[in-house]
Amino acid sequence: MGSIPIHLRQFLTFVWRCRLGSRATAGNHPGDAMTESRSTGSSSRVPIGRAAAAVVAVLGGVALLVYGAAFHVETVVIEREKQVQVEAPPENGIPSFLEPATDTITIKEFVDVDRSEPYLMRVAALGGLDLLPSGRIIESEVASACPT
Amino acid sequence: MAKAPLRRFPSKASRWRPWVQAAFLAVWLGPFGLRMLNICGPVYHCYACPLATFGCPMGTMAQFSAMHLFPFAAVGTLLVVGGLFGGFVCGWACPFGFFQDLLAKIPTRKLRLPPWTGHFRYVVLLATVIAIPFFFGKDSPLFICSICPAGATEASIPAMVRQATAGGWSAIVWPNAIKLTLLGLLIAAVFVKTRPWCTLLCPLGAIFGTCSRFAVVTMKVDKAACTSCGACDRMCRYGVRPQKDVNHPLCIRCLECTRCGAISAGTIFGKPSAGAGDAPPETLADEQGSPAD
Repeated sequence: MGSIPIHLRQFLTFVWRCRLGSRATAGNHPGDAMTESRSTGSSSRVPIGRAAAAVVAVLGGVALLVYGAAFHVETVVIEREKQVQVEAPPENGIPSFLEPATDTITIKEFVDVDRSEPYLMRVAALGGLDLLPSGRIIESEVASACPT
Repeated sequence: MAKAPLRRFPSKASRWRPWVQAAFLAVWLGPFGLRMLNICGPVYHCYACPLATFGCPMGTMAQFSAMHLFPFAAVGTLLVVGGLFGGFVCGWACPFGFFQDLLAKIPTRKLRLPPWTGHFRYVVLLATVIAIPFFFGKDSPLFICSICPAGATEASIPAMVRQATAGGWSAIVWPNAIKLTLLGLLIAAVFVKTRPWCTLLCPLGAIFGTCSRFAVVTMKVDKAACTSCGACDRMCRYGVRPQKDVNHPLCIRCLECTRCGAISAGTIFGKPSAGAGDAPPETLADEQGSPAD
């Protein structure tokens, strides 16, 4: 039990020494790459907190980048044209008994599709995404090369 | 003869900066006609530019904010590039910074604003890139793409030229008035302030400036060699005081201050050097006069 406070103190000392922007250990300004001994003015070491921040930023960035580029998908609504067969109106008012006449008409429908983040980035860059009042995203026809 | 040391010993790296910027410009402008807008670039370059190779990170983030989506890939790209290079991207790769640097070649007297003015960049980032798109959508007049001077320069003006060429003046669809006004003000401001957009308003600069605090590639001050002469403070055209805070978020890593032997660039994992500059600090102190304030 008695060793816990010692470990805690050691840990807090470690954190204190490693913290970013430490003026206590540095002749340089907070965040500088190297610190110096105040007594000698000689260069000594890199704050481990700063090195850790750099590593976390880079690795975290790589993780976000990989996730966003390869795995992140969003469901968006697109308006799609669909061709359907409908029964044609009878010619001259006389229905055909042999084979019902049909017409092909085009209707528009809204469907949900999954889009990857790079695809959304490209469409957004061309001004082709809009947020619906319902909170869903609609992918529209790209009208221009500039969103503004 | 007092100025001879500075002319004789220019920083080798900063001398190459315009050429590096030009080389990066060739990448962002897509010399091979590549339009990879599904990949987020790490610089402030409008994706509506007819020659843009990559997507704009700020435009992408704002568009995703307007869609209430989190831009994983864009944020990841900025974290990786910012975590590695920090403000070096602004000084060496950003095409809009290069544009301002070229305009600043016209010799005029530049103002030095206090470093706290750089906090406006965070306001622009939070407001026009995140909050306004989220709450008011992309049709808001303060959406970042609607006011972006880089977009006006790289996309709106080429589009207007194309429309005028195709159908005369009447065919021009005039872009957002705020955007053109801001561009005009910015061009005017370039003659009184070095890189006014980058140091006052750029939201991407706010991100990379913050990353400069912990980026792998960084600036160092050798306190043993520093004589506190203040020469580096006077050399910096961006309002940074390298002697006091060499990794200030306003720093674009132009490396001018490395002309002093006490300041150098390196990685946080490298051994501190005695300075990459050519001139010893005392030489610069003699050249620059007494320390400022």
